[in-house]
Amino acid sequence: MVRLPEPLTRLHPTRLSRLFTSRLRSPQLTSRLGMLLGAAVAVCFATGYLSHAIQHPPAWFYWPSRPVNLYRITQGLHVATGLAIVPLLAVKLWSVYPKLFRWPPFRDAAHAVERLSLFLLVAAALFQVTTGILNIALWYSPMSFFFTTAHYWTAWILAGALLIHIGVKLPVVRRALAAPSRRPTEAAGLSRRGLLTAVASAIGVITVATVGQTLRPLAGISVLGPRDPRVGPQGLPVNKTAAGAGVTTAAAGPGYRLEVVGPSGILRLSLGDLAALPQHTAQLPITCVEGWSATATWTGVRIRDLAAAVGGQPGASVRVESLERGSPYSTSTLPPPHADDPLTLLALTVNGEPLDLDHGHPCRLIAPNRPGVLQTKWVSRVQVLT
Amino acid sequence: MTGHGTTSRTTTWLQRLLVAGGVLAAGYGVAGLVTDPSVAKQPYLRYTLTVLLGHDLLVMPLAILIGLLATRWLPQWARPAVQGALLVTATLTAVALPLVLGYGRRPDDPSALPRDYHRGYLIAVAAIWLTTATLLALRAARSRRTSATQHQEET
Ligand code: HEM
Repeated sequence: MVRLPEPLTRLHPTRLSRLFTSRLRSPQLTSRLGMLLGAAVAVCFATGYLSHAIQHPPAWFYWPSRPVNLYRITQGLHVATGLAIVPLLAVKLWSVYPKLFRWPPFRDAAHAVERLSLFLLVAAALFQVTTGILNIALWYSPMSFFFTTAHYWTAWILAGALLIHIGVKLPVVRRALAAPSRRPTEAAGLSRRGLLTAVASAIGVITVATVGQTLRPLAGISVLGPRDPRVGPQGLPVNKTAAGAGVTTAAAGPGYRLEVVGPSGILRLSLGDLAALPQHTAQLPITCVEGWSATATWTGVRIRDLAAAVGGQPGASVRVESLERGSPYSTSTLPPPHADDPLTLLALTVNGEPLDLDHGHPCRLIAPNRPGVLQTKWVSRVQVLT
Repeated sequence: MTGHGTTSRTTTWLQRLLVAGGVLAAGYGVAGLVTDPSVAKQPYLRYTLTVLLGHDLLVMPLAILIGLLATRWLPQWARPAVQGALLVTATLTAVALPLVLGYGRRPDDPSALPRDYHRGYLIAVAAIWLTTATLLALRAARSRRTSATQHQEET
């Protein structure tokens, strides 16, 4: 809370930080909020890095095709935790806000460097949270840079600046958490416990209002979910439409042929040829990196059957290409666990109907435990990599 | 680092380790950002400075001021609940605003932002304040009952 300035001379820089009079601010409160915030940032960093590594696997990285819903859980957690950071960060920054105006601004050179690292920390934290919110709200225009890579690199800056911050404040945290919890003198307003209850309530409200975008049973009460897993063509949300991808005529035309390429040759299959091959059915989710997901029943040809038909051996990777051109997501590579998995299909139908054009007609890739951007739609070519 | 004489040697080493790891990770991030051609530097800097200054010099002071003004004339006993409700409302608004504005809607994709977010936001805010009002009413009733019993005992 602030006392309103009586004479304006109070705004002199040496007095500015004394304007803030809430007795609620204390190293105890800041430390407790910091621990929660640190845990939340760690969850976001781990799940975010995982999602990045699945899409751009480093040499040492291995990602299995089972459990089917694992990525759905990690990415749902990433977005839900990122939203839970909003109240945590807001109150954490409120609890140290007067320090922004401390006078003189720094004691010595080391303190000046520490304060600079704090600017990096606060800027990176605000960047990650706000770009994440804009991204799930599909509002890209305020970010006139490529969201995905900027969010990735800034995550490293946030993680690093946070480690520095914890390193610097460690003794303060230790002392604050060891100190007997003194009853704050009955101040006018919230107690520390009251404030933490309010933060927990805010996290609760934000979570319930949005998490139904991936937890279908809550879809009815998630009134602020950016997606509804029940809404879309054939009851399934769409991230990129055929019109948006510019594939409408190529995909709908009768001249469509799927090219299957492997060590023993090339097959060119019409939609009728594909439908004549052995069909299999799998219940698999579409899991968007943006945090929504929806399960559907897919029927089509197993990728491993197609690979075997052109001489592919188990243990090979398979590259899948779309009719879409000029998008970073127009091709994807199935690593061996996914390429061999019997649940990985080139789907021709969803929920018993031929795929809607927006779901990837004539056929799309659907594999277990993968981000939706890798579930290539409007597939034109399947190639066994050797 | 902080120069407190009471910190033990292990703490000091842990601090050094954390700071060194932090410098490496942050340096990796900065280097990646600077060398990645897909990140436009000027828009990135402009955006980051805008959210930083916007938060520190506009949103936070405004939130503190609103909180102060909104609870100034409330009776002492009603303040904590109202302050808490203001906090929940403010942080929910930060999440809801881009959805309510709805610039992310796509004419060719009805599954993108499919809900009525004005309605959703109103429902959520109404739920917050109805809960708060109920809590306050219960509290008022309890304190009236207590003071009534005290009154009876006195007479
Ligand atoms: C995104 C994460 C975080 C941000 C943006 C953040 C930001 C800040 C800022 C700006 C300060 C004021 C520093 C000063 O001017 O001296 C501060 C202080 C502090 N922070 Fe953090 N912080 C974060 C996470 C954490 C974590 C994870 C912890 C502990 C586990 C923590 C513990 C503290 C402590 C103990 C203080 C000093 C409080 C005092 O002296 O009264 N912070 N933080």
